[in-house]
This record gives sequence, structure tokens and C-alpha cells, in this order.
Amino acid sequence: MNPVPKHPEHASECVRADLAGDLIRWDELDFRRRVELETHATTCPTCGPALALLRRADAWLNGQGRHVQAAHFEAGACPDAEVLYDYGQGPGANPLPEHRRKSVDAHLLVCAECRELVTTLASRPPSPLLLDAPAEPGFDRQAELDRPSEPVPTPVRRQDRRPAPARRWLWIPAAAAALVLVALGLWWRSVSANDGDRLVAQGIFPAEEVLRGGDGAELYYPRGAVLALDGRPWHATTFEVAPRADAQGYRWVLFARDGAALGASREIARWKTAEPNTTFTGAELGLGRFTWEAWALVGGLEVHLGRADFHVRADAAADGLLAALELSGDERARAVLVWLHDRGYLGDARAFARTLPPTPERDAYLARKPGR
Amino acid sequence: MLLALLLTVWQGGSPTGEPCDSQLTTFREALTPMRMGDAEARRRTLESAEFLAVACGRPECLAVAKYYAALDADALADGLALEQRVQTVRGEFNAAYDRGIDLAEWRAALPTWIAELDALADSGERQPDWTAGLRARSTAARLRIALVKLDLELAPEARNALVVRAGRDLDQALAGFERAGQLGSTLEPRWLSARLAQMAGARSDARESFERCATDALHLGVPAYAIYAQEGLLGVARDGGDLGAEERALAALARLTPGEQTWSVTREWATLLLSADHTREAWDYLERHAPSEDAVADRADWHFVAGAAALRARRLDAARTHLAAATAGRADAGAVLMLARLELVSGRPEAAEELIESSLASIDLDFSAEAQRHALLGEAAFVQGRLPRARDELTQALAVARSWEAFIERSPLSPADPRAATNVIGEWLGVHSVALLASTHARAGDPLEAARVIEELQSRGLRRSGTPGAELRSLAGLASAELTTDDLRAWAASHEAGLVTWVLGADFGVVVHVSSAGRATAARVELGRAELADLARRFEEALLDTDEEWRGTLARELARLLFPEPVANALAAERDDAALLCLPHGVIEGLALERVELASRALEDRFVLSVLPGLVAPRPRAARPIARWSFLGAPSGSRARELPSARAELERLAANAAGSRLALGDACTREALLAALTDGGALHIATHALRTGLDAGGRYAPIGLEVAGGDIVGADELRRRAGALELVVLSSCASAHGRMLDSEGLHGIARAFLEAGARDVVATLRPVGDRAAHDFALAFQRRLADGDSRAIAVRGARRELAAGGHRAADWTAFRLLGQD
Repeated sequence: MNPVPKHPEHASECVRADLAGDLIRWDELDFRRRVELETHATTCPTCGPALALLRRADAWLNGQGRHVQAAHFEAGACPDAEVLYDYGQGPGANPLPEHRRKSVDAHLLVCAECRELVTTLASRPPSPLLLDAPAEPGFDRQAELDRPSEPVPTPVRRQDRRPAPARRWLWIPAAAAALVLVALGLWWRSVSANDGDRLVAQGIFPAEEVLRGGDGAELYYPRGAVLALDGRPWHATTFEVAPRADAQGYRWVLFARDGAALGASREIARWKTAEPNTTFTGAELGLGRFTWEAWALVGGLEVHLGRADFHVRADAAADGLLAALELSGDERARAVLVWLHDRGYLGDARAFARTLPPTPERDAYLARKPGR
Repeated sequence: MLLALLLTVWQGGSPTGEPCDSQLTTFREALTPMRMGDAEARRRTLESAEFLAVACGRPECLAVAKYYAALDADALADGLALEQRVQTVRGEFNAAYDRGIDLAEWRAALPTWIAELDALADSGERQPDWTAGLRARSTAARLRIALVKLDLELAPEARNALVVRAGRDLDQALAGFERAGQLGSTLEPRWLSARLAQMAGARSDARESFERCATDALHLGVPAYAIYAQEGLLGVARDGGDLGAEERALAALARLTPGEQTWSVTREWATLLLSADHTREAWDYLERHAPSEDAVADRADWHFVAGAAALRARRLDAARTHLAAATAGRADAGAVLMLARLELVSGRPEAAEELIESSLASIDLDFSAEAQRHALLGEAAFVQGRLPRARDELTQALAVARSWEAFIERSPLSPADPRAATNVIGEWLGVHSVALLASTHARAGDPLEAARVIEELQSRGLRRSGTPGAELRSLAGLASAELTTDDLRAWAASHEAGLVTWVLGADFGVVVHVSSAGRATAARVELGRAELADLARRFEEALLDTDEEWRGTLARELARLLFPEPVANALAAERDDAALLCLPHGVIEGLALERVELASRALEDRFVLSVLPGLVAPRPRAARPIARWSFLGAPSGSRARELPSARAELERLAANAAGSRLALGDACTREALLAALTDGGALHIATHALRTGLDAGGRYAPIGLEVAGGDIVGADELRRRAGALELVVLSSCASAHGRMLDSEGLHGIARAFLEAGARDVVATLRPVGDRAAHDFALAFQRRLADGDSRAIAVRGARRELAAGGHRAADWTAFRLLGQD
């Protein structure tokens, strides 16, 4: 039994300096290390935003190449990064002529990546370069922001590791703009609600199924399949039940099953919380079938909320998830969520969604309860 | 003074803070002297009452003060004198109760006291202080109710007269006290009124009155009445089999007795945990809340409940210790019976028989204990292989239970709806006895009789007359619940592959297949209720998941358990695609039987299935052509999400059905639905199935069908208002589900239609997607129009959904509940 606090992501600092050090070469890590970093980043307040930022920079780079390949985009080719920068009215931007501004307007209606980029550029980076360092005493933030940005080491992909023939001749002209973007991006120290605003909210999360009624079960998650990588749940497993207004607390019991339909079950953990959700990271949760049950403490009495099973399993098709994780920005989030939903990893999808910047859509997604 | 006693209400109620407490004390102390004519007390009463009304949220204090302030000295004195006489009678009653007088003495004393109180009430009505007479009325009502409860030999007419008079007196007392603004005085008549409603089975009224009583008692700071009221709510919940309401009432009771929980709460909660098969939790809870050694009676009772919990947990030594302590020095029938069960569980049936014969001979047994005695003797004989004795004892046990049930139903206190009566077999005797009797018949070579017993003793509510009114009920009602073996044969003959029925007790079950030729095959189901419920839950979860392999594993395991070899072999001899009627009872009713795999084929791929939660009538009813369709749904102003596919579904169906009625959006009103319920044709409704705002505490789950404006027509109302429709399609979520009552089955929307006489109901086992429901409905109706039977049309539509890529959670949800 090893329950951890409800919101571990609110911890104040990174406890895995070794993984934080890998951030700068995140896209070059081997599979196991990459998964470890990804998993760590889901709960680390420092590495999570940093990794998200690096992915966005990488995505922009990829996107530039792709866009240049396309002879015509639906609303025209993507404008240059400089144009977008001016359009976004970032620090030091030049005013755009009206006709140029209108054409960018039209393009942005259909191009999520440029929209995202513009939003990014339009917002002033609020903090200095170092991801972890607090501001120095006497630091003049405004003066620092107004100072021209200097290039910083950029996590550019190693071309020999992931050859992309179409990009070989494209990445160079895009790199300058990318560097500017990444430099600006890395100034972005904290990723919070503002970051969510910069994401394009629409269409990332799978639509909620319309059911003809139904209150759903009181036990929400985990249920069904739970994805395992390297024999352990991909995410720390979060147990959630329908909150009861009159409850003073909750009790949780976890059983391991022997895998047979009528097989025996063995209690492996039992713990209490004040909240209707709890994260379990105990080593007991490996591959296999499990049953959990929850009780609410109401007026001194324990009210049974129900029992449910879940199955921690490896997935032979996990390459699909890893490919989705290779993507960036909204595309990445969307692809990962679709993959998880399609294969029934609903609890994992929620865990992944928690790592995304908060937006109304994300919060609405996380507020959904299973309809059945 | 009675009023002074009631005025303890003004201690520690809703006023908060020192000034309010101080003024309450002043008010309470000054009121009686004021009524005795003390002018200074009058001033202090009025001043404190004004303060309490303005500053402490206690307007009732001012109302009381003004009422008495308006009376002259003579009127006040007369009122006090009358009140004193009422109190004297109450004192005599309480003293007799504490003394423990016998029935003969009660029979003599109660009518005398009642007559005296009636006279006081009549004279009090004519006095200026008319509230004193109301106290006499309320007390008289209390004694009349006591007489009805005590004297079971009263003639029905006499009982009826007592109940009617008590109800009238309570109404009068309540109205009068409210008119006088005397909130504290309403507590007793309101509580009694609730008790009366509860005894009459009017659970909704009872609950409303108990809740009002509890609220007022808390406001006034009278925890005793709050506790009484919560205990009443607990009883109402239990009568209706409403586990959630039981939990809430018990939680409220626990809050009213903080710190050290009362034994009554502990007992009820532990019993609730045990009945829900949470044996370990019940045991732990009892251990934590043992009454002190000083509370001798509570301690003995605790030993009894702890013994029962230990027995259930198979902790036989602990059970023996507790039950021995429970019976030490007293003849307790319940504890003796529990000890006898312990002997049975320990493999000593002879000892169980000897204990029952020796220890219960000298004890007067009530219905429950008498039925249990026979049941245990029957079980003891059964395990020893003495089948004739087992059959006789178990038959006798069930006969006692039925007599008890009939006694309750024929009482003038019984509810207007005979199905709402106490479920004696399910809740008091236990389905285990039905399983034992069925098993006895099967072992004795009479499996058809086993099937008859299973069907007759389960889902009895389905076959009872729905005609309201005691007279009509007694003339036409109860006999219809009984079944003969000829009835069973007739039902089996109406389906080519016959029928299959189950009974599932705590430790094992019995399944019987009756072929269309009337040949019966029985087998034992080697699994108890709790284990099968857990397996059924896992199967249901597997249907929601994407792991088909695991689903198949569970489906095969379920088949092995539910269709043991002799029955599986009998079914194997039946023709492919033959019609088979399944009569699942208990936890099997909510199981997706259609997907259980028999000989590597899903049951629905092998047979054309119809499912019923029990035989709805002695004989099956032939299908009639559908005269007219009513299509309703997609209501406007929904509380939940809009259902875009429901509208399209209904419009297309209506367009294809000449002469049909269509009510969509704003037109899908309560009136439109109620009209469609009685036109005798077929109804197709596509809407949300949602929780009703208020749980009426009846048999049905608090769910209903949503109509325009977010209005919900509840299952209970559907049952009362619906006619005998030919076919009902419930294109809604979990419409086949509902509240589970032991031996009676799931009570929800589909059950309401079946009880109202619908021949066939297409319903859903779980929530379904809007689009999937649309696709199913169109496929089903198209197949009907093509000439398929209703059962074949359901199967075909399910297959179409599966082929169309819908999730198993959707396509496996649809089921035909009917005779087709």
C-alpha cells in the first residue's frame, strides 16, 4: 500500500534531477528512457511544462517543413515566421500592411499551428530563461523582456536518428525562425492557465458519448483496461468515485485477482482519504487483473459505493501510442487521446489529459463521469 | 404539564448564542405561570417570545404566547385542567406499558382510556382554549393505533374503524395545532400520522410526514422526535426495499446520536451490511460498537447479531460463543434458530433438529419464527437425505410465509396496491428455502414440480391483481399468484425449445429446463448469490470493455454454472433457432444471458430468446396484431443532453407506420404519454430515462421517462396509468433495470409496463448510445414490418448493430422482455 497525495503535480520541485537533465535531448533518448521521462513529466511541475514547450518547438519545426512541401494550403501557404511574429504584435514587432493582415486572418482560420504560434508570439514571455532558477533580486523583468533575445541551445533533432528526406532541405531555412521561437519559448518559465489559452482547444478531446439517460456507476476509474509499459502502469493509477456531499471521507480496498473467471482474490492494499479520488503507486500494481471497492464514511457509517475490476495489461500495439507521443501540440494530444480511447484505456486518457495545460475543454473532459 | 414537557422543545433548538438561550429559558419558565394567571409572567412570556421571533428565528414562540395571551383567566384555567386529565391518562398508559400487562388487560384498559380521551376531546372543542382538546384527540389516536397493533384478533371491521378514526383525529389535531401556531405540539400527531400511513403502505405520505417531523424536531431541538422520525424513515425505506434510503436514514440516526452510537443504530447498520453480503464490514463494525456490559438487553442482542455475522463469515467458534451468550438465561426464539443453523453449517443436522424440538417447544412463535423453524427442519432433513420430510417441512415453511403474506395483504391496513405488500418470502424467509424445496423435488425425481415451485414463489407481484381496493382484491387478487404444473406445461409448450427457470439462494441454486413437450430436467447451480452477483458484475464490465477474449472466458464460465450438464444436454437436443423462454430470477435477471456461451455459441445464436422476470400470468397470451403505433420522444427542454438521433428515429418510424400518432419535442408531454398508455396498441418511446426528483420509497427505482419541459413520468405512475399494451419499445437507458427486491426481481420502467399488462417490452440492460438506439429501433421496426416475430426482430436488430460497428456495450443492451 502506498497511496500518494491527490495532486502530486502540485509538488514544488523536481525530484528527478537525472531526468530533468535529459530534457534538452528529450527527442534523442532511447525508448525506455523516453517513456520514463514522459511518465515523470506527467506529474512533475517543472519538467512537464518544459517538455511541453520543447515539443511545441519541435512541432513547429516539423510543421514548417510540411507546409513548405505543400504547394498550396487550403487558405494559402503558411506565412513566414517573421510575418506571424509581426501579426502577433510581439515585442519589437513591425506593423503589417492591412492587406497582409487580412490574408493572415484568412489563413489562421484554417491553420491551427499558425494560430497557436501567433498566440504564443503575441504573449510576452513572463520569466527568464532558466527553467528552475527564481528571479534574481533586483531583476528588471520589463527591461529584460524588452532586450533582444539571444539564441540559446536548441533541442534540434539529430538528423541521423530520424531521417526525414523531405525536411533535409527544408529545415535549414526554417531553423532561424525556429530558433527565435524556441528562444522565446524557453523564456516561458511557468506553464499555467495562460498556456492553456494558447492551445487550440477545439477538437482535442474525444466527444462525449450521448446516452439516453443513465446515472452511471459510483465507481468511476480505473475501469476496464489500464495500460502497462515495462510491466508497470503507464501512469500512476488514480482511483475516482462519485463524490458524496455528506461524506466525511472514503475508504479504498484493492484486491489482486488470479486471472480466472471465478478465481480467488487477495487484498493487497487498504487505505483512507478525505477526497473522492486517490492515486496509488504501490509496487503491488503490476500486470494482472484487480478488483477495487470504495466506501464513503457518512455520519460515522461506512456506505458501500461499489466494486469494479480493471486489468493492467501490456499492449502489443503500443507503438501506435509512441508514434502519437512523437507528435506535438494539439496533434499530439489528439492522437494520444484517440489511441487511448479507441483501445479502452480511459483512465490512462484521463491521466494524460491531466498533463495537458488547463483549458475549459480539458477541464470539461476531466469533469465527465462515465455514463455507464 | 404536557405542554411544559413539549416545551422542552425550546431547549437547544435553532436559536444560537447566549441571548437566545437566555430568552428561551425565560420563555419556558414563564409560560406555565402565565397560563395560571400570573400577570408578570405574561409580560415576560410576551417579551421573550418577541425577542425569540425577531432575533432568533423562532416565530412559533410568539404564536404560542399570543394564543395564550388572548385568553382570559378562566379559559386558561379550564385548558390547564383538561390538559392535566389528558396527562393522567397518558401516565396510566405508560405505566401499564412499563409494567408489561398482558393482552387481556390491554383489551380491557385501552377502550376505557380511549373513551375517556374522546370525551375530553369533545368537551375541549367547546372551550376557548381548544388546543387542550386537541391533545386529547392526539392521545386517543395513539391509543387506537396501539390497540390495532396489539390485538391481532380484532375483526377486520373493528380494525378498520379504529384506523379510520385515528386518522381523522390526527388530521384534526394537526390542523388545530397549526392554526394555533403550536409547532411543538404537532410533533406527536405528525409522527403518528406518518406511522399510520406507513402501516397502510402509503409510503410516500409516510415519508413526507416523517421528514417533516424530523425537520421540525431538529428546529425545535427535540432530538427524541427526530430520532423517532428517522427510525420511521428507516422503516419506510426497508418496506420499499430502498437500500439507499435505508443508508441515509441510518446515517441521519448516527448523526443524531454522536459520540457513542446507540445500539439500535448499530444493530440496523450491521444488519444492512449483512444483508448486502458485506460480512467482514458487518463484523468489524459490530466489534467497534459493542454495547457496554451494563446494558444487559442490548448486550444480549449484540451477541445475537454478532453471532449471525460470525456464522455468515463461517467463523463457527465465534458464532457459537456469541449465540450461546445471546441465549444465556432466556428463551429467545431467534437465537435458538440461529444456533440450529450453526449446527447445520457445522455438519450436525441431527443436533439442529434436536435443538429446535427441545428449545422451541415452549416458546410462542410468531409467523417469522414459525416459518424459520419449518425451514430449518426441512433443511436438516434434506442434508440427511430424508426427502419426504424435507419436502413437507419446507412446504410448510412456505405455507406459513404465504399465510403471513395473505394476512398482511388482507388487513385493512394493507396498501391499496397488493404488490406493495411486504415481500415475506424474499425479505423474511429467504430465497434459500425456495431453492431447498426446488432441489428436494428435483432430487425426488419431480423436476417439473421444482420448476413450478421456483416460478410460483418468485416474482409473485407480476401475477397479482392490480385492481385497487380491498374488496376487489380479496375477491379476485391473490389466487392469481399461484401456479399449477399444467400452467408450466402450457408456458413451455408455447416456445419450441421450452423454458428455463432458475432460483438462486445464498449458497446454491437450481435450474430447470422444461421442454415444449413438458419434459423437465433439473440441475444444481453450484454457486451462491453473492459469488454469482460478482461474476455477473465482471461480465457486465467486460461487455463495456474491449477485451473480447476475457468476455469469452466469462461467458463460458457463466454457461458452465448456469447450465450444468443435464440442462445443457437437454438444451443441446433442441433445434437450432428454436424459441426459448428464459425466466431469470435474482441476480441472473440483470445478466446479459443472450451472450452466455453454451457449447461455444452465444445463447442468442443458438436460440431465439425471450426473457421474462417470471411468469406474468397462469397461461401465456397469444400475440395480437398491432392496431396502432404511438411514437413519442425527443422532448424539448430536456434536463439532460439533447438526443439528436431520437427525433430522426421517431420521424422515420412514424412515416412508415400508417395511422400512427407522433408526439415530438413540445408535443411530447405528460398528457400525450399518458394518453398513449391506454390506447391498447403499441408504444415506442425514445427519450432519456432519468431519476425522478423524489424517491417515493415504493418498490420501483426512482426512475422514469422524460417528457417535455424536463418532466418525468415515474415507473410507479407508469404502472398505475398504463393499460395492457401489446408491445412497448423503451428506447432509453437501462429501462430493463431497477430496484432489486429479493424473490421479486428488478423493479423499473420495463417491470412497470409488464405489471400493467404489456405483453412484450423491448428494453435495455444498461445505458445506450443515442445513435445506437436509433439504429436498433429502425432495424427492429423494419424487421417487424417484414414479418419477423418480435423476438426474431430483436435478435436481428442486435446483429445489425454489431455488424454496423457499434460497441458491444450498445448492441448487447437490447432485450425482449415478453412472451413472444
